[in-house]
Amino acid sequence: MSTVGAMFRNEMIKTTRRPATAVTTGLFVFLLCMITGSSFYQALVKGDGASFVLPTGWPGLLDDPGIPSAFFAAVLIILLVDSEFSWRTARQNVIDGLTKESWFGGKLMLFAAVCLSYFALHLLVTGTVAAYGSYVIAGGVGTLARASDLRMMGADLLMVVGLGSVAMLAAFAVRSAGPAMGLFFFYLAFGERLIGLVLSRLGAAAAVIPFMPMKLFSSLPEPARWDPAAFQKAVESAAKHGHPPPDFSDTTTLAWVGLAEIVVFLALAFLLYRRRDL
Amino acid sequence: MNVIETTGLTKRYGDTLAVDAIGFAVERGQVFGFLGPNGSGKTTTIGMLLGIITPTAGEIRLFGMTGHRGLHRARRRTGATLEQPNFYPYLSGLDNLRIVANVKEASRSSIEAALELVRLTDRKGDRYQTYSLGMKQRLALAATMLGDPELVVLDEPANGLDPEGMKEIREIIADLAAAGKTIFLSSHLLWEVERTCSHVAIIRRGRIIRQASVREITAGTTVAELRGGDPAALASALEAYPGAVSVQVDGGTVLAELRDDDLAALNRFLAGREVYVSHLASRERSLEEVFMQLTGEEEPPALEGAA
Repeated sequence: MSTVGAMFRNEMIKTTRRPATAVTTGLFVFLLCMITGSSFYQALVKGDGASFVLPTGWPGLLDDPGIPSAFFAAVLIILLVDSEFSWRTARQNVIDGLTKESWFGGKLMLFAAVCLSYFALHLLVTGTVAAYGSYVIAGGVGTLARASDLRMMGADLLMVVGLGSVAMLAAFAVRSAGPAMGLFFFYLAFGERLIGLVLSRLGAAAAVIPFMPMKLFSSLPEPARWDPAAFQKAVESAAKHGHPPPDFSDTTTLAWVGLAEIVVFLALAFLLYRRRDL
Repeated sequence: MNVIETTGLTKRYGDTLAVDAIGFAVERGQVFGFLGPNGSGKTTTIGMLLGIITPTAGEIRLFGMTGHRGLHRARRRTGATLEQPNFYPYLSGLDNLRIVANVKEASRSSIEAALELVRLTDRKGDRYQTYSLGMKQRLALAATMLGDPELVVLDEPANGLDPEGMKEIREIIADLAAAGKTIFLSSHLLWEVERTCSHVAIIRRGRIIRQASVREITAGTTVAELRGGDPAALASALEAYPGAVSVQVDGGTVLAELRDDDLAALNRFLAGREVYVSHLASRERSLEEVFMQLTGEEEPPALEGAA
């Protein structure tokens, strides 16, 4: 068996049999069902079920539950990575014959699998509710998704992977699940705002803030960036409030910067891991 | 052939010199004891050998190989545990061994054989977190044996075990040695080391202060055991004896380390000073006594025997 195969099999054993994986995923699916189900019920009660008809309902379905899927994926990544340090199994795996590079490679597989799984669960739960809604309201599903919906799904996935990479960096920097989660959520909730305040005083806020991780990854999946109808609504809303129309010409730039940030965060996590003794 | 060889191996943490340019060699087939007080640099040294701690300076050769790739290849021929057993608590003993076996490319049958060797077959399906300390230590030994390593590194394998558990571990180590494995054993249980190891190195404050066979270390000098009258007066008389290296009072007994084994000359010397003893016997020093003497000294003695 190749090293890659061994790492994959080991990560599968470690992850799928870990109670924390089942608990975190179960909570996530429960929350997702509650959010989507209650929204669907309210829409039916109000007679406004169009937002649950595919494919036009995707922008709304992808927007609201997107952040929880990224957060839950980040929590699971931190739990799974940092327990290897607290149980000293990261050390033992290397003693048993893995190189540090191979061990980190296993964690990259884990990272990718968690991000993709949570993104897929998000699509599965919301898509199932919307498919049901399509049958109830429109008598069936026509086109499953438009090109703009697929692009928005890509942006959603980028958000999950992006915030997951921030979680990886926190996990490898701190090596303890509790403090790493604290650092992750503090940064996302307050850190960027504090940095924004400092940058404002320096006069550099406009140039930097849009590219800061939380701001960047959470703004990419905005429906108005991808869906013409949502964009039209945003223009009308801006005009109503006397604001200039929204400008989403930076979407491609943000996507590339986002990808670059993911690479940088993962590279930093690796360097921190390799540099420090186990 | 040397299975382990270090030259000038050094580890510095900021201003603290944890391991100070040590050099030692372990030959194929030896059961090598690595001894030292707590904080002397034992675990740091083993961590460097195993690739989980990066040396500040110096060279490590395992099976004659060195460098990043060479040492990685050599470490695949090594089985090791460091400090306490490290496993996934929510997995069974069997699943934990499957993880190790995947890394070492060991077969399923070797897992069963290793479980059999450490007598854990009956509990292999139970979660690791339900194991007693002795069972955890034995599972660590089983993991160490997967892949049929030529070199086995064990750091305090009998730590926290009851006498029965210690006996089991000692028997397993003896089996491994009989199978021709090279064993590098770190332990603070000196009588265990004396019974198990063929060679030892003693480390203190990050420096190797003695390396030799157990026989050489314990047979170098004679210890005279004396009783009779006032121990303090006896010790005082002994201190004046030209053949005495050191004198120590242990309750009612006085222990004198001698340069030779001429107890008759010692008796004549004491009688000449009108000091008469009711008991005079000689015995070899134990490894523990040598260890206590070497590690208790303010400054390391001459590096006799150290590489």
